[in-house]
Amino acid sequence: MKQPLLRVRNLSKIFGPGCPRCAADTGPEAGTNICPHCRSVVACHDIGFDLHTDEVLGVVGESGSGKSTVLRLLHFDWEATAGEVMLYENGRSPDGGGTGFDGVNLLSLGSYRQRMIRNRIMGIVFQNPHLGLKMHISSGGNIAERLLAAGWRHVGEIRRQAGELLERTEVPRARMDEPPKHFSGGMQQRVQIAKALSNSPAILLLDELTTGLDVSVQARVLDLIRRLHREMQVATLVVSHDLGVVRMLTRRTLVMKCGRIVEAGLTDQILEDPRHPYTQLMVSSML
Amino acid sequence: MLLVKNLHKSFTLHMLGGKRIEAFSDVSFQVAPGKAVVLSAPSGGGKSSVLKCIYRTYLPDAGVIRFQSPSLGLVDLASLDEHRVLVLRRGEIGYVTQFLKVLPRVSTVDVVSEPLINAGVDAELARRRAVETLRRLRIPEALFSAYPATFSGGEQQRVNIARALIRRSRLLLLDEPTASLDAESVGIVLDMLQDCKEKGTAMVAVFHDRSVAERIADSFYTLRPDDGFVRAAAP
Repeated sequence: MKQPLLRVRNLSKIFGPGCPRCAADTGPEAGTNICPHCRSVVACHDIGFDLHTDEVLGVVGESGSGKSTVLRLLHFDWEATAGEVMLYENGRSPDGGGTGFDGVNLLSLGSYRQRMIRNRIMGIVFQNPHLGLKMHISSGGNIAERLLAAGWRHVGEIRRQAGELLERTEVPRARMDEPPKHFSGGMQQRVQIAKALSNSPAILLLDELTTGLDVSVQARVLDLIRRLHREMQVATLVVSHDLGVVRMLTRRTLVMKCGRIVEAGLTDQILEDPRHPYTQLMVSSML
Repeated sequence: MLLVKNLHKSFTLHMLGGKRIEAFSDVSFQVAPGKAVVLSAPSGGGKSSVLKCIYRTYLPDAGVIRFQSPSLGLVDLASLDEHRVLVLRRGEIGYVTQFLKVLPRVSTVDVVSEPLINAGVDAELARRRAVETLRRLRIPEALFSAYPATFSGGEQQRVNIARALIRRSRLLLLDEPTASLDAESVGIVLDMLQDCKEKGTAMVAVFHDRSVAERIADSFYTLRPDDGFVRAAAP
């Protein structure tokens, strides 16, 4: 059995001062993630899971369940209150796509190293394209910026790579010099995906990537992700409130509520034999 | 190869105030390589649920499902971790569901070749094998590039069978694989299943039609919804 790529343990994030009773008095049983004693928000607590190199893992839950927090912690956007994120690179050297931080708790590293790891092995797609793209600079330029951060230096090669990525994500190459603000929502998402994939990441983080798109555009974006996963075999974390998205993309799913994982299992088991009351409610609420 | 012992499954419906529904209890049987056990029970008797527990779409409440896997050794499917279950699904355990559940916007050939591609076979070769399997099941060529969601019940069922039989499985779970097929198609499917048995595939199957079941079964196992089970008897 292979080692996971990422091993996440006891991951927690508290917004606010925090107190010794925060963890005990929040969560699904308490029905809230706000600590009644110190009013801190326990965005997520005691999150643990493994992410393997060739898998797509789903994280579902309602708004405020903490699913996006988990993703932002993995992307080092926010500093975790506690926990471990271990990276296992299976002996890959820094020249062979590795980072040189095999077996290290990434949360213990300084921000410079975290940024280096992020640039080298992570890609992220946000629900809101404004978070992932600079709307007023060209689509090609958005991708070039990321390639520069990952160490690319030759202008001609950067341009060629950006054009190829946009083509792979079904954005016409002829429009690579236009800024994303001229594009439709679905096309902006595809530029974001192209940008996220530009450094050939080992880990792709998708945060509600189809939320807010109309159904036919949603379908095309999901088909694109499926195709890219098949071609690139990148470990992917799909955060969504939509069980349909998770059903389409993933084989394993975590269900979150009030900052906790309430159920984890094979996606077909979560859908056909949900055990936790919240999962049952969610499955029975599916359209 | 497969040993099911004292298997029990119930559902707790939290939305109905924690109401419990018993699917089945105390189910025990075993299957040897190249043999087929057919589960029988009245409708709603828990036959499909047993198959789903073995495939781990359902989590059993109690009991063991011992499976001898060449890649993982002797495992208990009732408690095996999900990554290993996925390894077995990818390479060793096949499942023909009662109804075809496929992703939208995927062509018939891609639906059928996917299990081979996931098992590491070259995409071009997998597609050729898919075409051969579909031809053997008499799916019209015109449908190969169409989406199965729009097909008739019988066509969908044959696509489902093609998808399961395109690669060799050590264990095959069959849930009413011939229910909506005409006599000729039933014959073709049974021939294909017979081939699998001769190559050593063990089967656990549910058939609506007793006469069809008798053509493939090596033994029957009867589930009783009320008081457990009746032991297997030779046909």
